[in-house]
Amino acid sequence: MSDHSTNVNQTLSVAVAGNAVLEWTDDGWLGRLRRNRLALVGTAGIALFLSVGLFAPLIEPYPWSQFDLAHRLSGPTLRHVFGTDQFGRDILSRTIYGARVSMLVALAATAIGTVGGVLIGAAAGFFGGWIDELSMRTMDIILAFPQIVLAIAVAALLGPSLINVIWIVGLLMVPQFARVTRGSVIGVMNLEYITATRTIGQSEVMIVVRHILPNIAGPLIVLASLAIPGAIITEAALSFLGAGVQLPEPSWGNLLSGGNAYLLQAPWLSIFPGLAITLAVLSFNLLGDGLRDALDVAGGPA
Amino acid sequence: MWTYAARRMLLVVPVLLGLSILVFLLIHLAPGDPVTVQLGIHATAETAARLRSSLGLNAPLPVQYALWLNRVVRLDLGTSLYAHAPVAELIAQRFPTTLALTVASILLSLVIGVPLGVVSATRRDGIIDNVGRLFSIIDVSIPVFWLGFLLILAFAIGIPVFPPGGSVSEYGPIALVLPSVTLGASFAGIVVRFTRAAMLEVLGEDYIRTAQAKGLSTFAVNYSHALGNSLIPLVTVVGLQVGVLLSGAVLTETVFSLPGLGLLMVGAVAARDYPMVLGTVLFVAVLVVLVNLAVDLLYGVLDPRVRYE
Amino acid sequence: MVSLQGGEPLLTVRDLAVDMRQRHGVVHAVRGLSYSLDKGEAMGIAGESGSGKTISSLALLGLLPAGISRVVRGSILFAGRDIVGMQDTELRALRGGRISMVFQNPLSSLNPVMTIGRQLTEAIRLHLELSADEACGRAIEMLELVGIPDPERRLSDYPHHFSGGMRQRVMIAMALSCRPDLIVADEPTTALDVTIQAQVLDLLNRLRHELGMAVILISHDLGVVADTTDRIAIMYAGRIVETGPTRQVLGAPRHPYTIGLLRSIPSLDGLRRRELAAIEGAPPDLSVDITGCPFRDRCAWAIQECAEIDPPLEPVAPRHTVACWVKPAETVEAT
Repeated sequence: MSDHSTNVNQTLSVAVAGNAVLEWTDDGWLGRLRRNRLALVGTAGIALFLSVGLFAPLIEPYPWSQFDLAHRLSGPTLRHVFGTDQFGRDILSRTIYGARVSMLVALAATAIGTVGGVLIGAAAGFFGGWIDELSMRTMDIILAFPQIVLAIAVAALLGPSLINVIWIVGLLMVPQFARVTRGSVIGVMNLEYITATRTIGQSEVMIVVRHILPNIAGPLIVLASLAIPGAIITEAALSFLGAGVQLPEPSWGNLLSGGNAYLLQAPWLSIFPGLAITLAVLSFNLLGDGLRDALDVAGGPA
Repeated sequence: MWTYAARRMLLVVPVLLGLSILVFLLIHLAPGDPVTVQLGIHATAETAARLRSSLGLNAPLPVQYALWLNRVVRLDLGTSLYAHAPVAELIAQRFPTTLALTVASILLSLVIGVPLGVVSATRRDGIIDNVGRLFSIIDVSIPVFWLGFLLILAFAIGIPVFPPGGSVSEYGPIALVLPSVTLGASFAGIVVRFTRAAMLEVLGEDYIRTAQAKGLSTFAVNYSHALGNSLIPLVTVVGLQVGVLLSGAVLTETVFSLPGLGLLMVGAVAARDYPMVLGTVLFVAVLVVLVNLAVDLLYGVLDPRVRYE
Repeated sequence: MVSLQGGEPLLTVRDLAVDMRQRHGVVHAVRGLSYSLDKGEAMGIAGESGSGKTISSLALLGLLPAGISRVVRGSILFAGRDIVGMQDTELRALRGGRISMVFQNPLSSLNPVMTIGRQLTEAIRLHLELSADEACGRAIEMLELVGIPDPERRLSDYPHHFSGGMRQRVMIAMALSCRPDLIVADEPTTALDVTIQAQVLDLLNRLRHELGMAVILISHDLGVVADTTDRIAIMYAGRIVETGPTRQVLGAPRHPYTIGLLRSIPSLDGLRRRELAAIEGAPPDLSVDITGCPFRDRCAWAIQECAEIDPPLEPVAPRHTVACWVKPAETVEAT
């Protein structure tokens, strides 16, 4: 029986001037997600960028490294839809290839972050004690560094390359995942512990494993969908600063830095790759927001 | 209140230590031996030998750390390979520009973001709310360095008012305008989000209903009661984003060739100037921790519940 | 309803109906509520959660949550003016000035970052148009009235410096500060310790007699209502099912629901050894239209007519009305 008084308390005090109310039917999170138009737009965008990345060699009109000195620095034309750079390389092709790089880094780095974070977080939550203290303090220290600053430093030390970028971005994501996992594990532990103490040692682990996964799936999915765009931007920033993917291999970031010198003459060198980053990140953000609303999970910035 | 402050300050110490350990370990990540890292391959044999002994490279790692930490605390962050000057000095030179940029950007983002967030919350699901949320999510998606380019294209070229790049000493404070606008506008999206969320949460509280029951006008309820309660968590949350802002500052300085700490660091990376890179990283990290501490203490002052404990 | 004191009643609620939009549909929270209140009279409204008592009281101040609730029909006449559909500016003049409300949870009903003094003087200056100093003086008066020691110093304290009971006293002080004609107290003691409960109720009672205000006291606890009210109305499923002088209704209830409520109050008199009788079943779903009496599924006396036609309020004694076809006259031992 719905308790009107608490509902009233929750919604009463919004000093609002007339507004619409969602007519909610309880068809679960997927239904809610499907009705969120912006989230659907985001999903479409993600699908677009993923396929572009996947099929890059098949889609690009020209090989990204191919020079066309006759048409250097030409603006958008039918021949070169996004224009060409100072070597006559087709910007569209390079942007498409850049999509591949960005998607690869974002997904691989997020995978590293998730796996690492879940392992550390689960261990911290499950074992508690000094393992918990030590790992969480370490996570705090990593989080204390401004991300890009730390990433640049490590990249400088290890030498910039695609693999290194993936590792760096991935490791930077571990603390967030560790925290969330640890929180969920502790939450579950408090629930199940009472029954778990009555069972044999082995069953305890099984119960925890069988019950943790469904519980953390929600917040982790939301976190992942919001971490991926961060990874895209971090990689782009690193490449932009020269600490990431190195020219001539195109990444959206280094395309932007490459366009810096020709900003006045050939702005399209900078406009299109930046637009690509924005749209890709926006797509993931829209979906991530939608997921968070649909799953009713309090995600948000740490 | 003082116990609160003392507690917070004590907690900072282990974090600072942890930071220093991390940076120290990073030094040992670099290829080559630490002497080459610190002095470069062109160092003379004497300097190398001197450094080798002062670093105590034959000693176990913890001892090396202690020696290094000892120098760091005396503000000796090594010497820049590239500029042949003490790192600490160079940082001190460049820092004011970055500081000015960051502060101006925060102010701008608050001026844009807070009103938008407040109106968004008080007229929930209205036009301004939808615009605000759309603005927020798009703003968060635009990389700050691209935004910088766009603004340069628009202003410095289309309407030549602000210089497309260069230092304060060259152009005067006007050189800070476009970079601050870039970084500030980029951060505004997050501010809108936080403000809206904080306001909505406060507006759902019981005491807002009490205020309404007293017959106060909507304006008084929203601004006097609700906003007052929202500003406290808002200020602290924004303060905690300093790390994000500094990262943004690095990128913005690069776009506008603004000679601040960020550009210094980027140049050092390109030149493999390891002492400079690490010195800057350590400085920035310590700065972030100290700002977080300041924010914590500020919270203690602003919230009467803590103030009078 | 006839007012015995000559002249118009202070408050007349006539056939009030309020709908609320919830997650799963529209709920008819109040389904035709009527009562009237004279100056200086104290009326209790009792019922379980979900009976509509809180919503109806919010309607009195025009504080129904905008966008998810609306008054479907009916009127609320206060001193001759209808609150339903009143303009905001007029409503705000009434709120705090002529009708005040005391809410349920004193721990969260005060703004934590504002001094008590500021929160008190805010309303005073708004409604009584006093200067800052005068308003302060009045605030101190009010704090004294509700029994807060050292009131002058306390003005600059923050809510967290006060205990729960004291905070509720402050809320009462705030509600009284502009000499309203009517105070609506919604579960004012639920969140408090039993001993503090008694104190606060005592206070309300005393002040009511001293200042001659009308009081509507809402509670799910019959004990709270018993000693402090002249009249009582029992609400169930959005309507009043029984109403009359408090002693009469509680001493000789005629509605099965009231009888059930009284039976479920444990008696401290160990000699009886009576079983605690809970009322079986659950309140009806208010999102669907109800034919017949809403209590029939849980009623031991239900007859055929109960399923078909909703009983109206009919008198069983002077000023004692009941909405029931059967009106059983079971005696319940006085508690």
